Amino acid sequence: MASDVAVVAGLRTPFARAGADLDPVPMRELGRAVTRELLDRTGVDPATIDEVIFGCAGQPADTANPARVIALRSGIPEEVPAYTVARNCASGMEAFTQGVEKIRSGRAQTVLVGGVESMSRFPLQYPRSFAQKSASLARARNLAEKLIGVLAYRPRDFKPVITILEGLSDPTTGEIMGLTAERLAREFSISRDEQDAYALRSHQRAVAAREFLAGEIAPVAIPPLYSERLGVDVGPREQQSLAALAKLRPYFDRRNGTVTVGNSCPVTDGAVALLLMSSERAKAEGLRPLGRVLGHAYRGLDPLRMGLGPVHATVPALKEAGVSLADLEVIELNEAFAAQVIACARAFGSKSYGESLGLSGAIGELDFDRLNPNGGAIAVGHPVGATGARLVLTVLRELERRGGGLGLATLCIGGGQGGSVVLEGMPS
Amino acid sequence: MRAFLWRRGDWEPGTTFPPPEVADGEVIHLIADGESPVNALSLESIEELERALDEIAGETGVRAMVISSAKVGHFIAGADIDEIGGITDPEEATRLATLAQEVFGHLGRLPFPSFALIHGTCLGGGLELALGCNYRIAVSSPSTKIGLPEVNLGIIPGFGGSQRLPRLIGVAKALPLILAGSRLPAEVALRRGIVDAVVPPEGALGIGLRAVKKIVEDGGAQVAKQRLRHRGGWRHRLLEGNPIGRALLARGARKQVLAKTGGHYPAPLAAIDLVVPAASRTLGAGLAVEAKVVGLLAVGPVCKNLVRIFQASERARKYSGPEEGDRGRWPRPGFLGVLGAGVMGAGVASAALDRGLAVRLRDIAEEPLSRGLAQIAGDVRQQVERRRRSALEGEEILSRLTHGTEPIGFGRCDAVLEAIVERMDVKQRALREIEPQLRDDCLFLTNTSALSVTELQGSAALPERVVGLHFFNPVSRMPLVEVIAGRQTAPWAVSRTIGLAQALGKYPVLVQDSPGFLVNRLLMPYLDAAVRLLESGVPGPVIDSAAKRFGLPMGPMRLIDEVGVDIGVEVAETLHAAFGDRATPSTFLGRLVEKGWLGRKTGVGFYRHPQGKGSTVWNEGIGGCIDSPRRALAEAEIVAALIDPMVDEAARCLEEEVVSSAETIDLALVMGTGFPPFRGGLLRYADTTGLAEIVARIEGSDSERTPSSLLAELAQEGATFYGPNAMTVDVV
Repeated sequence: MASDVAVVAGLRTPFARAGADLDPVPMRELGRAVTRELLDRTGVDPATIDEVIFGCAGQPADTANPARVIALRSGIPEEVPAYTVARNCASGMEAFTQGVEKIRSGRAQTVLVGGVESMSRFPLQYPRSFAQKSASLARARNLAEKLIGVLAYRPRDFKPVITILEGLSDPTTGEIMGLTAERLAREFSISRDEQDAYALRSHQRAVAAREFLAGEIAPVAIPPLYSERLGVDVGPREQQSLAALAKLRPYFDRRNGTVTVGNSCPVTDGAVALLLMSSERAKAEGLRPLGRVLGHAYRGLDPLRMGLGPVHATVPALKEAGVSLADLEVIELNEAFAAQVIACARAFGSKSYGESLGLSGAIGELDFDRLNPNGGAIAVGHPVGATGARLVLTVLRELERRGGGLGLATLCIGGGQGGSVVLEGMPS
Repeated sequence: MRAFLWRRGDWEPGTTFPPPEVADGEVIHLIADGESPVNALSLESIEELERALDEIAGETGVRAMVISSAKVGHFIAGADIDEIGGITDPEEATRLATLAQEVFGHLGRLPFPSFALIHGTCLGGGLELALGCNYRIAVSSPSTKIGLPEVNLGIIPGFGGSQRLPRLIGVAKALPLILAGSRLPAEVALRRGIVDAVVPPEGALGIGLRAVKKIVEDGGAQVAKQRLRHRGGWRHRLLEGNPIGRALLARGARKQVLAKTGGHYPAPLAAIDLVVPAASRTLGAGLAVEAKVVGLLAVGPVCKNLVRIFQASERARKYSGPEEGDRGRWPRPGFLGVLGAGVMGAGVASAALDRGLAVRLRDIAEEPLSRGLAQIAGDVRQQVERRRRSALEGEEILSRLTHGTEPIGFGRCDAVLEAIVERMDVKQRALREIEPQLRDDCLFLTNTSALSVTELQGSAALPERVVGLHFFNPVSRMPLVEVIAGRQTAPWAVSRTIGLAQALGKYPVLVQDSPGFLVNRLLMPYLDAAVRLLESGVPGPVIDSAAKRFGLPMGPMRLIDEVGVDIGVEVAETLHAAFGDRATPSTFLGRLVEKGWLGRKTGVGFYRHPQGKGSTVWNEGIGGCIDSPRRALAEAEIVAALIDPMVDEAARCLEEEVVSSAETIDLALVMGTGFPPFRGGLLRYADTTGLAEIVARIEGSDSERTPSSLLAELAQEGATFYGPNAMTVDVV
């Protein structure tokens, strides 16, 4: 029989807009800080961990296999294996569901999973042409060849490739993510005002939840001086207003667009760690779990409509869990773009969309009161590799506060996918 | 039983060694495998080596000889310290040195070349043996340490080292190594030209043998060129290549040594006189002088005192405490929780991180916690900037640190140390707050300097785990810690605490739970005596310079400034309450506190301490607080007035069994206060001065102190603290 998977504990770093407070903190240090703090707080012997899995979408060249680096730097014994997974925005969720499957199959009893991303540290690259010309210059044997080599450079060879922009574009169509949100806004006729109102709500909820969110945050000491610790999310703005949001110009489609930097999530730095155990192991260790996993699923769809991914993935995840949308107390649906969240809500409630997925009718109404009750990525931020794990953590903590119940963590994935996890929370 | 064994042959079976290209019997392998776990050289072992060489020299078909060690972590760690300490006749020491010089010289005059394959400590006599070989190959591993640290023990390299090293690498390079007693890793020794090749630790014998073969085949031509590079060059010719340059070199070195030692240590000066002319006179002549000088130094009082302090420190370094089993062992590297991120807490955390431990640091508020973290990060950054650690090592050190303001996350700790305010109720609260989450075998340590460990135990659920561990400031530089067992402390907890102190690279001394423990209790009468001298009209700078000339690292007024005048008052009051009349403190410090002259931390105390650059100068305002007319006092009288009360207090500590022996007191004062080691410590010094004189002086003084019964008794009998009937007691 498959083992029941318990989420024993979780923590995250504060999230901060790329280039801001966490800019001096390398990706591996973000992962290390949160992992060690989690181990300290749970008191679990690191030698009993069977596997370490981290999600990371943009792995820097100096940290191949970030999970292994984080594990070693966290004092987890060398004997414990570690690997890194990438599923774009769902990398952290992928790490989580892989951990779940390892325990379900009995291959592991304790798995440390998480997600980490330092979008501050996405490098600028030399163009390929620069690399080719430099390589041939290095091969030059005499002065004439060297001269020819030097003269071969053109100004465009020095224009850096901004890898973060490349990463945020769909690799098969070349379309930047913001434009896929614009497409959904047009198709589901979502107005600029609606999007801005949703974005404002995200900030208001995140600001109101500061104290609650502090409970899942492990403060990070900022190198090199270590003279201050960052313990709160930097994104949520007390002063955010509709008027301020309305002033922003559309960022991706300057002429006809509605998607602005105000109603989209910012590029962000942050890390999350979760400790998973089989229910038996958790019991033996005397640990009270935050909750357990009922089902999960990933589904693909049109890359140009990637924002609807949560709708596609949630249907099979609910089915595996044997519950319906209406049974869910809390839903964390990642706010890549306000337009994309609203589009998902409409698709969930749409009869025809339900039928297009082979159902007899609409999936169900998405209750905005239960949706992202503590704000979402528009305010808090979206460190791509970490977010999937953050959603799971926030759902379980909110359920814990409400005295248990069912919850959903779901997100859209660049490249045209969606991922969903159905969870059952435990009362504190 | 043989004290030392030089084993022949047996290339390790089953390994690739010897490589196929080396024929059987071509290379003789001589293995040092003495009874001493570090292959310490004794007279016997040198004689044995001589016999082995005589035997080997007669063999035929041999192309090379390799000397290596069977000990893990040690090649030959040096000469037998106990043997040096026991020598009383300079002729005997000279004879031993001459024998060693000859035998080591023989190593270089065999019919075939000799090689030292150095893996582990190769210090003093060990390096001198290696220098006797024709070639040296070092294994690059962290345990390999190469150097001539003899001057630290009051002698000079006497087995040929003072002559052979400068002849090998030049005077200008050899002199600083010998004067500092540096211990070099393999790679650095190669760069300095002390070794001729470096091989990796895995398969060192095999790879070493290949290096041997290469050198044998070209007759050492390559190495000769290499060595010439180390000695050659215009700088060499300008400096040591002519008498004027050599004189300059000697003068510079002498000046530096005198500035550092105040002339109290004869060995470095003797080393300069020996090393500088080494390359310009014949080896035989140089060796003869070396043997004679080492003979004289070895029987001198400074050498004896330094050896004794060294032996005491080695005992402290290896002491396992009352529980020798597994339960009493500190689990290395270990996980240390620290409560309180002040200068002390952060200092201990930093030292622990530096030594490989994991640390969790907690302070109740964000601001002091961040200040502590910044202190730790600053320490690491400094190490990286000074190239003592690489950037990646720095990252790794800090990766073992976690922190928080909540009392959570200590469940995995092996020990939790509190370094919070010196108030019993606050410490008790911290203990009660943290204890429920601790494992049963986790220690709770208190870094108190004055409060009772036994009283603190009253608040513990498991009092047996509560131990005092008193560090000195600055933690990174002060090698002493006092370990204090409360009434209910278990032996395993004492042993583990000692193990932790050793893991931190400190020397632990076991002290009874009594007011002021040991070091502070002894310092107070000394500081108070200084203040009273000042009040009687002796100028402060005169008192301080007398103490410095005595050999202390700083004078008493300066020390009060460093500690903080207010802290001094606080400790004095505690001790007064505990010990009554004889510890009645002068009221003078209180007047400084009223003026806000608290010492370095406020910029003014007995001295003015300018921020940033600028030197510390005497605070002329002090004069206005003194009513007595200025008076002159001979330096010897000042020193006596300062030291005598300490001696009496130390005698009381022995009487009350605060520590186990006079040796403990001497070690503690040398390591904890910088009491001049060449004097052998406080009680050794008292023995030398004469206890009867000390008693007479105390009785003649107008202080409240009367000689303790132990001191009076010893003086009466004409005995000494270290006499044949010296007392030793069990502290725990």
